Amino acid sequence: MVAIAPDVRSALAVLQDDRASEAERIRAVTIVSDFGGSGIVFPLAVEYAAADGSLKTTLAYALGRLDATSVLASELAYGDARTRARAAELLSLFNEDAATRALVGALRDPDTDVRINAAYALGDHQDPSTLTALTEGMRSDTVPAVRSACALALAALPGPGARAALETAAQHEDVVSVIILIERAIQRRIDRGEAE
Amino acid sequence: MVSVPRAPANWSPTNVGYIVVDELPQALVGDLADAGVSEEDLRELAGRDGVIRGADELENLFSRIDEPSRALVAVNGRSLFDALRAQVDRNRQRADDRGGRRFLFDPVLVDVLEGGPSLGPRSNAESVYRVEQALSDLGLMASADVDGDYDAKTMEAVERFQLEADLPITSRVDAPTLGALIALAPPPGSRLVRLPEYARMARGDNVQVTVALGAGDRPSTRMRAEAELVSGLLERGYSRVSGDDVATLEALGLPGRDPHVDIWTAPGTTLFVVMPDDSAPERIATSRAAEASDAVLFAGKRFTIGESHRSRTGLRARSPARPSTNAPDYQLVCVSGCGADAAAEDRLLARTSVDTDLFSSAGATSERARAREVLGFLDVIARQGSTDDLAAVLGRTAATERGFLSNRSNVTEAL
Repeated sequence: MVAIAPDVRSALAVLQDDRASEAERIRAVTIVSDFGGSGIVFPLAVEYAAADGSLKTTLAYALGRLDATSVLASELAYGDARTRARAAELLSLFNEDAATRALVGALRDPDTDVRINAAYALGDHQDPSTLTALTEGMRSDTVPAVRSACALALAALPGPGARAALETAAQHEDVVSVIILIERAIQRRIDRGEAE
Repeated sequence: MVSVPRAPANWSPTNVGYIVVDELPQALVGDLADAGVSEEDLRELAGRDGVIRGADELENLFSRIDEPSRALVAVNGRSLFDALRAQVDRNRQRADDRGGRRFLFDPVLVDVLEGGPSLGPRSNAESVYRVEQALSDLGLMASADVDGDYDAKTMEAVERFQLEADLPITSRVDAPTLGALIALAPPPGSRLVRLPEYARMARGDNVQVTVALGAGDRPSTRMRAEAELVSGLLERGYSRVSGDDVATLEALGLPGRDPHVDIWTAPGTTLFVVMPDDSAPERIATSRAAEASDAVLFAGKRFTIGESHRSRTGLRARSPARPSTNAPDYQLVCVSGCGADAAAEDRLLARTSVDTDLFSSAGATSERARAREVLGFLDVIARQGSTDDLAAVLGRTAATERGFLSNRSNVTEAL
């Protein structure tokens, strides 16, 4: 991590203070993003996830300037387990090919939390090209929580194939909580008008 | 099966005690022998478990004491009566300490406590009666159903007690269940007063709760909340009702199941679980379930009460001019981690025709934490806990409450 200068730290504190006005927080984003560096991508992305209105627009612009997707993808590949898990979670916000590719790779990460966060993030991306990776995760991961996350991500995936993958998995799964979540995922696809 | 002495008609906690033959001091055994009651007589009276219990057996013991001693004069310089009474008092105190005055003179129940066969259908009627009375005094079954018959009502009450006591739900009275009853049942002759709010909230013996999680969140946050919720419900003994299980759905009075609503059941509780997104069917499903429920638990990051609450979750505030026929008389609304504010609460309450109370948390927490808060609310409702219990669920998050369960003194007095 890069050391953060005191004035940037103060600006970050303003950005993270719910009592600050929107104008104050937007000004803080400008100060922080001018500082640059990978160390501030994480806190800015966290605020981006919760923001709305002009603040969200400003944060999106700042994160774009900082090439947040590349920074987070790099952290997802080379960071420690906790950093990788956080990077996977935040990459859900950046629906870009590079982010999706990084998350697909993270489904084979040795750390369980990273795999869970990657699966959920892919659920936000809803990219049909991730069908195979999510199906494989749901079928063969040894951790039920990862299989559940893959099933829930498949519930949102557009295009054919996901429904069949879920139905096949339901027949072979033996953990009750995973079976229930698979059934809910199938139901969700039916609710959206997918044919039997 | 040994024959179980029926408690005499005039039985009360103060006129019954017991004596354990093996625990009698040797001096007292000698005095009894001198008064005409040998150790063999004592063992014959005590039977298999070595305990002389209840007014009938104690009277039988005294009838065997020879005439002068029965007149309560001292034997060997010691008062026989006082010595026996001391034994009875000591054992009564021991039973009291263990909360077991209800059960510890019943050999069948003592056997259960010691790991013998559990109580179930066709078990000894007297023992079943005692367990039913304890369940009734805990407010878990109607006193009219206390009949010594281990029937469906008994099983339902046992299951509900096991759920509240955090025990495996077996429907039978085994050693852990009986031990928990000893610990939790009020003293014989008294009843635990249930908070009237719960009586108003529950229909019959069942509380219907709508759980809406993840309103307004991104898909991934809803997924996390959903996974946490499903695991938590399974851990708590809830069962998911399959859409094909027509018999159970009809028994619950739900002939037409909404596919957007997941139904879960546990003894005493029916849950309608919705994960509302921005789609109209899920919003409508949330609205319908919430309007007909006794308690509504909402949690979602961007979830606020009032207009935004209405648009995001589909909860339509009931108009006083057109009250819903399904609306309960009393409804508890808990809102978790949603940024709710006092003005928004006022707007919701002003537009609500039923007697609704609101308990909300403005703390911004993670989706998993919000799911855990909802599960915590469910736990409080299941054990009919107090306002303090609800506040404890929210931990340090800012909480507002509007008088729900404010008469906690009922519980304090009962205990």
